[in-house]
Amino acid sequence: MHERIRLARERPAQVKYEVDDAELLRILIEGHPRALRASWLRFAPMVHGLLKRALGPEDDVREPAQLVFDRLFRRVAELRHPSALRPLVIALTANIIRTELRNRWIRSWLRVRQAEAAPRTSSVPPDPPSREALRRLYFILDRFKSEERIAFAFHFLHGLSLEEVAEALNLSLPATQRVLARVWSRIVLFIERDTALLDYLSSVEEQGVCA
Amino acid sequence: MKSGVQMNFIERRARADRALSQLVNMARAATETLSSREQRGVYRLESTWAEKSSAAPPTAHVWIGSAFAARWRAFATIVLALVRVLSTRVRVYYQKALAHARVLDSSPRVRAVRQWLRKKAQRAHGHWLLLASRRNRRHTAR
Repeated sequence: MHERIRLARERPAQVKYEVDDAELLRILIEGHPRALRASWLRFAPMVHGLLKRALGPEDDVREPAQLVFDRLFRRVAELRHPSALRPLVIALTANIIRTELRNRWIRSWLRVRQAEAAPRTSSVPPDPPSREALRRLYFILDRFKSEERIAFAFHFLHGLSLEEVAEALNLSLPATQRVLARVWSRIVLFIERDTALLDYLSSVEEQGVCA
Repeated sequence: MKSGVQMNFIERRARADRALSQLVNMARAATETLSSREQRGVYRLESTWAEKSSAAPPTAHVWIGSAFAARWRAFATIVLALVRVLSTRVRVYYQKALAHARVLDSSPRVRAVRQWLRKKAQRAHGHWLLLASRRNRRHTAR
């Protein structure tokens, strides 16, 4: 019974908010009340994924995600083609990540500590070794410039195409390729020096092969 | 034909490369889904925009107050940053100057100048001694 009620509630919502890019852009520019929810349903998973992958899985990304949508609603009127909506959201997310990394750097530089949010169990791996491995990956990424970090996270961790990454960072395609190759090789060097991490990941790989 | 050291290096690099691929997969899997708190973000977004659209334009007093506070915050941040930069720079310059002075003290040119001066002084001293001895001899002759 409860299941039927839930489905009955969800079905019209899905029909109502699933719109294509052109329709979404139109209702966003008009300021239609449906626009907020429709754009959230369309882009929220991507925005949260990009933020978590660039900033680290243990960071609380709800605030930056709100900022991304806030900027999207402010700037959407500048758009002319519906196909530019997704690149705009990606570019805005990249900008927010850049700002967040800069703020984090300033806080660490001025030795101001931010109140730590409670760890989110849904996105952090449950076993301590893999959590530690991920923490070390983000510790390594902390040494890179924000552009390089964003490029690595967007392409390798989130799986965005080279063109999308290039567009988000305002770089040419060959420049993006060079940045990605450089970041990858430097991270490999860092991992090579981290014996504990290397041994752990090799053992995980062997277990995977054996299984 | 590669040597053992080269083989070890290549093997280690390949191992690190595979490890990074593994780590990338782990990072991808770790952040796959939206949590329920994140899904609820839409309500916050809607309420924020509802407030913004229904809110009256801010009064001059509020606007001035907020702008004033923001300016003070920005000013304090800049001053703090400047103080920190300057203190670090001053310390670094002082240490550099000390090190430079030490290096200068033991540089060959300075050593050569000192030696020349010492020789000059010795020669002058010697000359004075000679004069003195002549004077003494004159005195004794009298």
